[in-house]
Amino acid sequence: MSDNNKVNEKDRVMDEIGLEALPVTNYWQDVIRLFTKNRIAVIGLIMMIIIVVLCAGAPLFTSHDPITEMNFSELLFRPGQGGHILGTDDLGRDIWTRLLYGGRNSLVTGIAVTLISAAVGIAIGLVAGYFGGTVEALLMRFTDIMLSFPFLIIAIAIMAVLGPSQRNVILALAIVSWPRFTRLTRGQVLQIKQLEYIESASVAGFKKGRIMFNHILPNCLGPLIIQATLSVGGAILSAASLSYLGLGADAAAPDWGVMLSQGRNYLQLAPHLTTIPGIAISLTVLSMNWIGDGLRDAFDPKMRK
Amino acid sequence: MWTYILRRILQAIPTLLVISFLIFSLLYLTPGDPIELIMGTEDEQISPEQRAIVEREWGLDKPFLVRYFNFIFNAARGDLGTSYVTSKPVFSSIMERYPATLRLAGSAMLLALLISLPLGITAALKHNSIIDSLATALATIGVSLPKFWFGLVLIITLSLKLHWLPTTATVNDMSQGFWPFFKAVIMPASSLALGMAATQTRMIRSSMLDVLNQDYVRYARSKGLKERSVIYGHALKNALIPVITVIGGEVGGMMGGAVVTESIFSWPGIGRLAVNSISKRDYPTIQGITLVMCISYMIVNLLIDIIYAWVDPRIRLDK
Repeated sequence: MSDNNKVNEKDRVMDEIGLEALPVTNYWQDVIRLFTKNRIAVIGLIMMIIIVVLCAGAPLFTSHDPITEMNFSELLFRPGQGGHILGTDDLGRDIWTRLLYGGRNSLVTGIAVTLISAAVGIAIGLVAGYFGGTVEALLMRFTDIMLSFPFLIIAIAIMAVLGPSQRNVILALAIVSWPRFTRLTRGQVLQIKQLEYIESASVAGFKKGRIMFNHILPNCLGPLIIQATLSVGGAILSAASLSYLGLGADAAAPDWGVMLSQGRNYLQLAPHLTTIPGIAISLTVLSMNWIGDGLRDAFDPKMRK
Repeated sequence: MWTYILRRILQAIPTLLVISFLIFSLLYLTPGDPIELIMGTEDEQISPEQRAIVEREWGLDKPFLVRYFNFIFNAARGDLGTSYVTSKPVFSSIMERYPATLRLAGSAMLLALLISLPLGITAALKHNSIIDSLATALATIGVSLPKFWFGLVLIITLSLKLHWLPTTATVNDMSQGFWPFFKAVIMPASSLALGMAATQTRMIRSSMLDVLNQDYVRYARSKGLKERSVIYGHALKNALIPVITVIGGEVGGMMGGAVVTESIFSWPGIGRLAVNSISKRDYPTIQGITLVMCISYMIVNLLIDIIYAWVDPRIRLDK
């Protein structure tokens, strides 16, 4: 019955506005509609889903082991040779297998760095933007100082101190990545703070925390989601650079950056050791960037009608 | 204008102090015994007397804050301490290698501009054409590739397969003329320029599109000016203003990239020195390089802010 009522109600509204009116949608439905209309963004999303499924379900797509299964009679096989789809590395390990398991590490690093830096950055940005005054001045000055570091250099210095491991990579990259989220959040909060519904919420006597997290935060999510998407790709690229320098994940781990750095000794003999993990990184980051671009267009109010 | 420049320089000082403090305390907290590194005897036993002598000699017996202030005052006079490994002054070994890094970064920046300017402008002028979508696609792909991997792919194809270029840089300046330098620098510079060219192409394109929709451009067109003078005389100048700030941010990325690129191509700059120092745990050198890179980055951004204020009077007159 209630469904019928809703349909009738909708028809009535449509009649009133006229047939040329767009269907009544809310903000998020609009975003999804605009996103799915963007062909490249959808391709990016599909690529990302495929990559996640392949890496998360790694044991389903290969029968080899990424670390322990070394076979010294099958060193540096070319792709396709001896039943290894993408060949073998310098220790006779199956590259396809290492690629799948390595993708897990890269994705976990990218997502963990983004989650940590977003949580820290957004919290600081909310507090700075909402409270203003001295709190804001101090927090934003510190943020600006953190932003004035060349960030990979600082990550390299942190890794030199902490020593190589995936956990430290996540920590080092999160330390250098949060200020962007802070800048963005604060900018959004400053705009939203002026709006009347926030005023009425404080007049109604809501606690500051509730206003910040329930009333302001949901309305600055758009740009933050875009930044988060791009940040995942950026973190994967930076983690690969650190691993290549021997400052990233543990050298035995299946990790795309580590694989690249092993391959550099065999550029002449077995270039596929280098090209394959690089292509994997590029495709992953590319799909994240395409999704991010699609989201940017979908969230951009100028594109809305 | 001068007050603006002075204010920006004064603003940079607290930033510099915080940066140097963070770098110093980071390396102070590092696990590991500097005495063992200095004496180069990790396995043998060091007697307490020997330890005390070395500690005093290197100033390691003083409290943390005293050491930090010593570091700052010495750094201000161009003394960044002494390397644990080579026992040479850190400042002079950085300065020996700094010009090579500048030459590489400068070439990369030039290359990035040579690619992004024509590509970005053409894409904006031919909005929604094939060239436009091609430029946009290339720009997205460009930021998605790992820069150092692109460098490795260049080595595999241009050096190892085609034998066109040497795999490692044998010269890093113009001492043997332009051509040998060009052959040595083109691969590392391309690998370093990739991300910057991509970001700038996007930036130039969108900024040019913005400007072309402005009233004054429409007015210039309606006056009957030639399309060429509308674009190069009126639109381009204003379109490039936002692009200047992007260059500042990109320089930071380039420094990080230089560390990796230099070690791939054996380019004898400070990036490679940093990697070598990290593997030898030569903390004074790591500390010095990090500080020099941060200062260079700040100077570049200071210059860019000044240029920005100079070309766009709204900024310096605003505050």
